[in-house]
Amino acid sequence: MSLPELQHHFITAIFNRDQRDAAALLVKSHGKLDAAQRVGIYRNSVHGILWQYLESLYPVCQQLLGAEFFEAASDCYVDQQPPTRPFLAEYGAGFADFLAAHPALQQMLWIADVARLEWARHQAWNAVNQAAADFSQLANVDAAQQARLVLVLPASAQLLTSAYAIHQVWLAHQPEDSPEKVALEQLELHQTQRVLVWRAGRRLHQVLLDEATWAFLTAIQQANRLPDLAERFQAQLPALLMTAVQRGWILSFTVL
Amino acid sequence: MSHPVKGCGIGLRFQHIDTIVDSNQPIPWLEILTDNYLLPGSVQQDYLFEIAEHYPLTFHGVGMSLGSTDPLDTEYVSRVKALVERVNPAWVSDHLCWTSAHGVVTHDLIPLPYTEETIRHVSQRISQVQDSLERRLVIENVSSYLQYQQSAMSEWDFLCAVVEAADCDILLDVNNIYVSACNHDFDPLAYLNAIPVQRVREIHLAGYEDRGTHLLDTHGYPVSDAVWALYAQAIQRFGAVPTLIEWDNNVPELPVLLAEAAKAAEVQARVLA
Amino acid sequence: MNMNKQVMAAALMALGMAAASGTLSAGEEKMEMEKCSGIVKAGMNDCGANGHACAGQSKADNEAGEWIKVPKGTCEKITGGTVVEDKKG
Ligand SMILES: [Fe+2]
Repeated sequence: MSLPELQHHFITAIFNRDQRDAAALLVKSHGKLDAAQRVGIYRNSVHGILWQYLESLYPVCQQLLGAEFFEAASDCYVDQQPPTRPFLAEYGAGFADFLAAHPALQQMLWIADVARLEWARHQAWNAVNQAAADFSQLANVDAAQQARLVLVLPASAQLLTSAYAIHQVWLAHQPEDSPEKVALEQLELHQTQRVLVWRAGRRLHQVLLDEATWAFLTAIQQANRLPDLAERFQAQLPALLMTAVQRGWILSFTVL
Repeated sequence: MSHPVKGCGIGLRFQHIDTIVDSNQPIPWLEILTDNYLLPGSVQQDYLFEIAEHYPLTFHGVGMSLGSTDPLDTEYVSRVKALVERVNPAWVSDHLCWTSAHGVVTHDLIPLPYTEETIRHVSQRISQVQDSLERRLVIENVSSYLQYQQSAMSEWDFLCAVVEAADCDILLDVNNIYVSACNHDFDPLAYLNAIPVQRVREIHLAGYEDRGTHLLDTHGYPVSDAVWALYAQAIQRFGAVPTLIEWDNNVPELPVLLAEAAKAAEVQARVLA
Repeated sequence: MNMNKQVMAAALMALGMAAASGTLSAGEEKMEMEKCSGIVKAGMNDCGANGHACAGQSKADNEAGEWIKVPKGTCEKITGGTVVEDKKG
């Protein structure tokens, strides 16, 4: 058998337990383990490596679902959507959708939204580093350029909205205290929450936004020009801008 | 200019990065898992550049998939190359195995069948990577839990033939030799004695897990007594080769890791006295 | 339109003022944090998901179909968070 064929049989067996026998034909039985068990060691090791990674990526979901359920879900997800790139940090993007489609979670769709928040945190942490622009240069922007002025969020900025209290569910699972933290038992799950996650240097931030700020940052993310922002936010605009720049939510600007 | 790598170091793990960045630690050298630092412009690279200013570094990769019959992942190779050029590690290593095939990536190290076909294939891939990186590669033996029906030679004959054909160096993992020797019932000394002395650039030590039916290379425990004994024999044969402690699961506090590295240095001093 | 021009002028002035006041110092940021209830996690230990390793893992293989179970985690503590008994079950 050629090397490509051998690798084909083996990789198929790793992500499909029913295909183990075809791969076992390639392997010697000896000592305390037969060929199928030896192939199984690799299937389990691959699933173990990816399970451990998914646990570290989705720690709140892991606690919400319980260790046993999470492990089983991880195994199933890995078989259905195995990694296709050598960069592990890219893996796991589809886990929230996987949970949302899980038969046992059809009345708990909010857990998938918590997974989306955890993925957003992972994305924010992995986004590129950027230097903040010098906003004093705005003084040199003339009236014609103002009409084409676009503000830019940090590459790490992740805006999420959910019909559930995902921010507080996340908070309740953190060891640290915070003023917004509510015990799980007291939590009002059914409330719309708008969350911003972003990274500044080596610090990862997560805040709850009010409706106006969320709409404002979303408009900026969609590259709305300054006149469009003025039209939409009117008298609120100066204060929205001031807060956003001070908190590091607006990193730079360009003239299109 | 990279710092020289000498003595006994430890693998850099995420759990210890903040401590190592914030304080001067008595660490002879650090080995990074290259794959964790391949996002250009990322905070991980930011940490790495800071660490590179203070400690000698080596790069150890798991994603080159040297034995795979898929085309070499050129994006992966070029990201490694960019980082190598930026940090200038003492050397760059990866494993004698395959990790991906037919477009699917396992993120695990899977052994190869030991045949002439595999020797040709994998040595050609190593040459290709060495040409791209414009660097010699250092190749590590992996632990294994199976033997293929079609394997036609011992693992050490296979390893020697590959490094000869590709003209690359060896990272000898003494724990992996011990684990495979137990799992496949061969003499670990026969393995050690077959390895060409001048090609061994680095030695790995780690702790395995005894699963009853087999030993599993989990890097989750201290180095076992049997592996320390085998390590002493390796030092006898290969001399004062830079040695690294790998610990990936149940990662202990930094002082525990450093004590393990100091123990390796003691073995070297005792054997070479 | 004239109205929008005024808004834009005020907005640019606000941007200039925000820029002039500079980014917040660590102390100010801490206060700001408490006021705005922002949460910060810092460093690889806090934020980095487990990365690559060159170690194997031991783990049991789950039987096919076994994964369809009811979650038994902290979700049970949340009012209205868990499934009301499945009548078909
Ligand atoms: Fe190793």
